[in-house]
Amino acid sequence: MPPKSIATRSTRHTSVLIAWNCRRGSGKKRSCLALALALFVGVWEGTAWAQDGARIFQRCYACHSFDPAERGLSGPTLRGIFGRRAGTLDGFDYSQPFREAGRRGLVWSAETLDRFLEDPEALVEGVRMGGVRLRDATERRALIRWLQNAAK
Amino acid sequence: MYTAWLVPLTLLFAAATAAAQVTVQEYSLPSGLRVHDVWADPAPDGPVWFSAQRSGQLGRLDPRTGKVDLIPLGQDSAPHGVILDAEGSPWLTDGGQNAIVRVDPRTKAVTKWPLPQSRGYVNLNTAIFDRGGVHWFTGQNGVYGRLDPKTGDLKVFDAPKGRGPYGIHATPEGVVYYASLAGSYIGRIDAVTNQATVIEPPTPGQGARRVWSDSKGVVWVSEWNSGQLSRYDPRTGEWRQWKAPGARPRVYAVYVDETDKVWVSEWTRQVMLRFDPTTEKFEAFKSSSGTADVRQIHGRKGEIWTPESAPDKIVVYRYR
Repeated sequence: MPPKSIATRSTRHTSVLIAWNCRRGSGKKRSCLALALALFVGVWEGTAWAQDGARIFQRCYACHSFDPAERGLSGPTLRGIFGRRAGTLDGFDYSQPFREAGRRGLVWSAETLDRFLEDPEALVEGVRMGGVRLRDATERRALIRWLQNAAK
Repeated sequence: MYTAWLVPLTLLFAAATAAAQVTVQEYSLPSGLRVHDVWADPAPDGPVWFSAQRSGQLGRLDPRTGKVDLIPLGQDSAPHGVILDAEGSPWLTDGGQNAIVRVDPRTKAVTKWPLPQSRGYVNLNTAIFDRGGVHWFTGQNGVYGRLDPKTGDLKVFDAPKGRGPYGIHATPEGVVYYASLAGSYIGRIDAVTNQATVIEPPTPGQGARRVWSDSKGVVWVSEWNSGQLSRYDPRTGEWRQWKAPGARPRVYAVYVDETDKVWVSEWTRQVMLRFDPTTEKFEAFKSSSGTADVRQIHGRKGEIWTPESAPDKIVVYRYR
């Protein structure tokens, strides 16, 4: 099954610890609580992004993995995709439209990936996964943010 | 409805030499649909249904007039497969909506059976009815399942070896087989226990993509990675393989016609191949499309129907 989201447990513990210390009265109670709240909100939001991203990645999971050694999938590994020129990963049998897009200078970034996921055909004409679209912009943002960690 | 381009292109020409008895007719579809699968009504001159994956529609082609009707399936629809039930109603495996979808061919009413939320997104792929009318389906994220249209009971099962379940078909005896592209095996489903048994083709990592049974219950497999057409005989357990002609072939779809000849689509040369199991020879046929990308094949007596996903065409090969 697809990978689960990575819980930021240690950061959450830190947030609770700060809040507990604030209750004991450290002299800067207000700023202390504000820091704890900000940290908690950040962690909560980050966890939500991660959970959504992992969930949305299930739409990609049948054809893509993060293990370069895994063979036999229809799509190339996504490991290291950010900054990679399209259609250039060694050992993968790309279709002609992807190779041409790479020659024309298409490099994968958060911005190009967002355009591609919204409508692959609109960015790379004739691409074989052209029928698969992620129309919801919020979902695309969550997926890309999650990929920026998962694809490292 | 799209009437302007509905007059079929009727590029009627004879294919080469021994294939002189095969004619090709092409129907252009509205561009951008990304036709994926087709299913021909068994009646002569009956409609040909197709899934339009990019536009999220079911299509209906009238071969006599070339008229195309498009039926929207829902906001996030992206249908992969389409099949007909015994009453002639189309059923779609809609990956976009994560649901099995049925369309009433008269009223065009759309009925959906969403997959259980607990299963998440399964990437629905292809389906087939068994002899008892049970709808069996595959999900490429690593599942297969069954839907009883009479009761609405829907069950999803984990496939062996995880992701990969792709094409699915049933033998005349009603035994259901599916192919696992990423798993490189075919699975036989026991309709009583719902268990799938892995049957490994001899070629490691062959990428079994689609399956089709002939009239005797022998299972034919299109192997994407190896570029082979392979055959599994359930009575003897014997496998045979034939490499498609040309350098680095990629065999995508397979279909067995009423004469038990086997048709496959090959993507490197972008041709349709007809394999005669008696002579063990391939014959090649081609439409006018440079890149056709035929992802599935269906037919009826004397006709082979193909969805050309790259140019958005439906092409029929007629033979005697």
